[in-house]
Amino acid sequence: MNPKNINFTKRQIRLALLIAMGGALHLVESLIILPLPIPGLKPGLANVVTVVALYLFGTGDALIVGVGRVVVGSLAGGLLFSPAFFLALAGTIVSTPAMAIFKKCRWFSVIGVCLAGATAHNLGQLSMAMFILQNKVLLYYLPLLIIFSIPGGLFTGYVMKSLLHRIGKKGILPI
Amino acid sequence: MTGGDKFLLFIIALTAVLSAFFIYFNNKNPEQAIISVDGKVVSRINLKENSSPKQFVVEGVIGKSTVELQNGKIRMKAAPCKNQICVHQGWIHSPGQSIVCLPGKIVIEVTGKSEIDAVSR
Repeated sequence: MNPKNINFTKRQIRLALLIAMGGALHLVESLIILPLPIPGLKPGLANVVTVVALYLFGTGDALIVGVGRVVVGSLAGGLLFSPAFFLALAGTIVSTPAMAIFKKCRWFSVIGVCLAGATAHNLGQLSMAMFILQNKVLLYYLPLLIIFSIPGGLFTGYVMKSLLHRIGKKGILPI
Repeated sequence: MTGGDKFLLFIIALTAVLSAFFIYFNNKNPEQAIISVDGKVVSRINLKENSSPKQFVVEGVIGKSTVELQNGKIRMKAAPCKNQICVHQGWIHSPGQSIVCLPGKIVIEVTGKSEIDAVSR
């Protein structure tokens, strides 16, 4: 095999591993119901794999991992093409480019990137929910969603910070 | 956290507070529950006038849902959806609250002046 093919295979395996991990986290998270005023609000743990892909492999691969983990996680949970699936998909499609833009800016660390990602994710989900329902009553949730994206973003941000620290030290994903 | 992160945090919090101010305190409709399916209003109910228990059926996109009224409160009693989020939301009564059934595209919202408005007057 020539080196080009090997690199292609390596990339495929890495993305597949991240999608599998993200799908598992997505599935576990969808089973957790937090006692909050908004139904279905989650800390965004599954989004961590998207950020890992963004930092290690770039924007395009992050988008592949993000969409892939939503499809895999929803498929495993029996929710493929349900409203919950479209909400998660909209969140990922909006948040990944937002995080890529914030990562390009030198002013923000990984925590700022995750904060921006969480907020963008929630706004994307809300827009999709309003589109599905064709009703603007959901705007009632807007301030709450923005506020709850702060703890969610900080949580994934600090997880990412410690993760990147470890990756830098030991160099995981040796394949 | 860098300075940029803290600035972003501040901007997000500020946006939340400002949007809360605009959305929660700009309600001038009379106090009533509005039920809509797929964006169209199917019924308007005055909650204050309906204190005795009462229930009726709303035809959603995926089937029939049962809505119950009691003591000026309203709830989704039964729904044909899988996750039953709307049923678990329970009773609502104050302006701005809503029950949403995404699979059935049913929305129940309580409109009217918020209680905070009434207190400050």
